Amino acid sequence: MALSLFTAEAPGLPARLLALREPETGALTFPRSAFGCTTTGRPAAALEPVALSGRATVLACITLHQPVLPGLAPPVRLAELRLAEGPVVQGVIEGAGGDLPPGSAVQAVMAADGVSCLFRPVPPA
Amino acid sequence: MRGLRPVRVVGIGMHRYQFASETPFPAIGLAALRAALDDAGLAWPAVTSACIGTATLGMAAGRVMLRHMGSTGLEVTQVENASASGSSAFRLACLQVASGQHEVVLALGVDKHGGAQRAAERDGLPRLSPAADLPLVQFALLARAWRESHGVTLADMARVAVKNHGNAARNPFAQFRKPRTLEQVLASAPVAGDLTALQCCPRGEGAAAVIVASEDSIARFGLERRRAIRVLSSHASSDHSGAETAFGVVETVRRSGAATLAAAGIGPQDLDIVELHDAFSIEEIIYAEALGLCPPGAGPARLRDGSWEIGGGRCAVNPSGGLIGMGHPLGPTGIGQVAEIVRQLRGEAEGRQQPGARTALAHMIGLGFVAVGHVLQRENAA
Repeated sequence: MALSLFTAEAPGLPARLLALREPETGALTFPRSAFGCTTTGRPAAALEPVALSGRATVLACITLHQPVLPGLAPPVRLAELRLAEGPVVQGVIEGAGGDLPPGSAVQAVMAADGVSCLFRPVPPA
Repeated sequence: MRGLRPVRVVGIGMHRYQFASETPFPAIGLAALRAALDDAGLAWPAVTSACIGTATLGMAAGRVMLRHMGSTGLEVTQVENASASGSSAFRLACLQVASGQHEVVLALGVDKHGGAQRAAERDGLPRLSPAADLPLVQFALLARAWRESHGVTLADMARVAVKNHGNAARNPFAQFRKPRTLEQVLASAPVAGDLTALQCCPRGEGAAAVIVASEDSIARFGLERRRAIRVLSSHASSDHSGAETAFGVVETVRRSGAATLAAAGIGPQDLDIVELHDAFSIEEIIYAEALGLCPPGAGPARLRDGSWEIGGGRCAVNPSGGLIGMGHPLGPTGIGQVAEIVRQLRGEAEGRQQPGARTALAHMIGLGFVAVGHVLQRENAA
């Protein structure tokens, strides 16, 4: 069974992403797995669990216009994100609207289905 | 290939890339194989090893197909390496000859659309995005990032498709045979981000075959040496740590290209032709720059001034029509690149010949990412 990606108290609330950290180098593995560190190759047993903030910055954001995947109904916004702690991931942006410009801040939140994780735009301070 | 025996491509054969049909894969693959044998002037028993590139057919496709040529006892190996399956099969064939394991080896790519499975969907790990491993989305994101960071315009991207659809229109083995205007490319259906339908490669089926041979076998079988094209280098690699996204593939291509050219003892300025992985239009701009065909950021200008057209400048990029125009049936794609290059270097690419072509690079990437490059060169006057 797959390890969960995140933890959150309820749908719509901020999510913390569950990762593994290599204690000597600090290298992060996300998503966490039983296979080992994706940077150093150390076995998972040697890694320590860590909860990431869920904060991220948009590197690029697009709208998918065609139904190329089951369960991903267009239009849907997808983004390449750099998590605050470093790893780069692809995420689904919550809601409708235009593509987010690079540098936009987003926060991981639990989706309404209680299972998946979306990224919510954070208004500029 | 340095330090190993010389290897030459002595025969090429194609089955046109096409949309999915009811034609069984052996019919498609054997058509390419028989064409390659005819082209080389070889009989089937001369081939002592077959490297079959396929990503969709399942186990033992080689034997299922090749038994219809008569079972000669040859070595048969199936190679799957995503989009680079054919390139990897060709590399194995070259190494088998170069190492002295075999004298005459077939590399054949064949695939039908619909059977591909991505291992990334079965690794037991969840993803934040269901599209995380989908190349269309990965490269649409890369396109957007590149536009914003490098000033590439929508028209720049579309010009890749215009050029490659135009080349494919002149290639009888291409899936798409219709020239397209800039307006048509830009106005075609939006797919993902800035990528429109005509900027995305079609999927389909097809086959490509090449036969490689040693010096000794060229002499022994009396093959036409003038038409034999030397394989100068073969290089394969994968991502370095931290480069596993489409954003990181740029560095993977840069390193792979540099290593492939260095192994051949040449530089990018020596290339007359490059066939590269343009599954999505943005890739050609990014990879051509990463391979050193122009300074970083100069790709769009090269497209605008026609430098990468056939006969339009120093180096023709994707004269076959590339993946966008010729098609991308997976297993055949990398071998089809080699077949196109051999045809060009022989001076036999009727209707789309790059004038005076002598040296060429075939470069593919595959999911993950992996990268495979080959340099081929004509050694005598065309």
